[in-house]
Amino acid sequence: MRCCIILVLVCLSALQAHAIEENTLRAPNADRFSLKNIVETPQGYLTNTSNDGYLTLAKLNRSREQLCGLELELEFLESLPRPALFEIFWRAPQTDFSENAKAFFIINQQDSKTTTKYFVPLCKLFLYSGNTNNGKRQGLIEGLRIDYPSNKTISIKFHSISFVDASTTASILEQQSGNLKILEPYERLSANAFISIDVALPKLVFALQEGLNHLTQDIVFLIFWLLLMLSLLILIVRSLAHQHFKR
Amino acid sequence: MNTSTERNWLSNENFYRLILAALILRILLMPFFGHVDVLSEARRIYFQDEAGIYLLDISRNATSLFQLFFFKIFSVFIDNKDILFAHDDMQHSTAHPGAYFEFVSQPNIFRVLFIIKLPFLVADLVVAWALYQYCQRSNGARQAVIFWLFNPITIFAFYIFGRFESIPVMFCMLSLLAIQKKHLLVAAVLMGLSMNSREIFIFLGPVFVALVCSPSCRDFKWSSRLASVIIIGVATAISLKLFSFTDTSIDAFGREVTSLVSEGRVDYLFKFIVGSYLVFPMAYFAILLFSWNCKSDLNEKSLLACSLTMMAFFLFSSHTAHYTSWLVVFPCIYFAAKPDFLKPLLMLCVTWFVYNLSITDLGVFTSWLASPWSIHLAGLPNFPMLYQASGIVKALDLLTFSRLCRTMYCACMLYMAVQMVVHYLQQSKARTEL
Repeated sequence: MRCCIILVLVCLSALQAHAIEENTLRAPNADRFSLKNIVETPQGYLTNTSNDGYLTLAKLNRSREQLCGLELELEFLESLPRPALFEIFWRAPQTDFSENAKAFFIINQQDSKTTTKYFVPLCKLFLYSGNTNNGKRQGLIEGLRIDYPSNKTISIKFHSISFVDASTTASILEQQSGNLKILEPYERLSANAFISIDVALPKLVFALQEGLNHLTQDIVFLIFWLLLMLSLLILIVRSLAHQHFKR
Repeated sequence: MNTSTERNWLSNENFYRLILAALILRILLMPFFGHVDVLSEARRIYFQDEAGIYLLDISRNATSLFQLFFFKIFSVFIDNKDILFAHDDMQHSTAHPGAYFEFVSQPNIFRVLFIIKLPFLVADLVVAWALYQYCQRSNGARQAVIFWLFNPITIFAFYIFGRFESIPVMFCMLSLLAIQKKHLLVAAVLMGLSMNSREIFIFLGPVFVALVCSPSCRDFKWSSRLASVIIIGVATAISLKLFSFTDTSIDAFGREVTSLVSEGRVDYLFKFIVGSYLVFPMAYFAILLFSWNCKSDLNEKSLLACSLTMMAFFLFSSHTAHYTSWLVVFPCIYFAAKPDFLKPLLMLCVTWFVYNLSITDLGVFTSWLASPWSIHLAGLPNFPMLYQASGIVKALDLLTFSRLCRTMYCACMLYMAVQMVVHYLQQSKARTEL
């Protein structure tokens, strides 16, 4: 299992403009990949052994445009009983992982039932790539770290880990392919970033859409809730109409 | 506003429509907001329901029972409750933000939040009903009810922050109504329930005893007075954990049972000190003296004493945004009798909003509360961060700004407290002249 991940990671060195194909893998290079508080089971699942388990991908040394999207094909040994929160850290060369360069994504229990391909559009994070007015955050990425949920023990088989570039990320997000589950990463924004309209507006629009999508996941409640409000609204209109016609 | 406009505005039809509009507003908000405490409380209620525990060694037994009643009925509409509410470490009274984010990511979270908030909605509407009855169903009563239903403070506390504050307020309001109707024992029981719904209402216990022992209660039989004092005494003892329901030092969650004082919850009450004087206890003692000594009508005196106790708490202690919901019902009652209470009430809402915006109080007053709609909103900067990033900070720093806001917020309460006393004196004078 570890070798499989290492193989995938090594191929990152060949990364140019497009996603890396698995058949372009080169010789394994163990110093690019490490596990902390995670053990590998004989079946190839990676299981966290404490509340601080994570895996690190090192020596990536590619631009953020090249490492724009993260594709993960994951299989859970047991489907998640409840959503799980994964943190993702990144770092530039000669820097450490820090709380200022992190985001998190959530995998829902429904998606964990089968082997699923997930896509994390890292470039959509302001902290990761900045906006068009902020070139400072466009430097190289040297390392990436994925933290397991701190509140549960889970076993995951990483069938693949790969990066895609900005143009491929854009097309993936545009196409919204059915066999690829997009996991929007969440971040904590600074005020200086948020007062820029080209940062604030997409964030707010996305938040609005996410809530609407969330609402449609429980259709029975949605119908009940709408009917309840509608019936109260009808009572108001009826009262107004009654008063109007009485006159 | 002229009389005819006022009459139209308060017509039966408009009053009915406004109540319906208030209901729509509540139903609209209920599914989409919640503080991390919503999860903490929900999982406690779930645990109590699963384990069949109805009385705990906590100071909020009445609140828990009220919520449990609704949970038993409506939780049949929630699937996988164990997954939703179960937590690895039940000994932590507050859920971890990570657990909260997982909770709000559940596909049926909107339904869950709606169901969790049903008891708060019922208690809120009972307060509105009791307020209407207390204020003699007059035009003023309608104004007061409308203000209660649309004021941003309670809407925030009950439906956006999503806390159970409407339950103790309901018991307190019903107790005042029972006093007005001369049902002293019922009033004592309801006040006892209020004291065991939320810690702060324990201050109303001694006020109640002082009122019962005062000359204003001469019309009541001594046995009723004694019984009501005993009821309040027992309620106080339960609230302060002077005796245990479980007869162990460990509660159902595996935590060491502690008293209110040892938990440090009352610590902040005494932090407002002028010289060597603790201001809240000083004000409170004066209110107790007034309650015990004054001979005036029990109904008016009890209303004033309870109102001033709450006012003193909010004037002289630090508190979070949703706590202010304990206070709102009292000025609403005065608003029913005094239409000129509207401006101070509106200003209280405005200053409360700006003050809490300026301090945010560890995420209580931020877009974080809309995480159930989208977790993206949890990561947005709060008002102080935006304020610091703006140019305004050069003219007025954030600390001074928040102090100014707090001062104006307190000034509104102070003005209202004075107006309450003035109104009370006018009523007493009018009664004496009659």
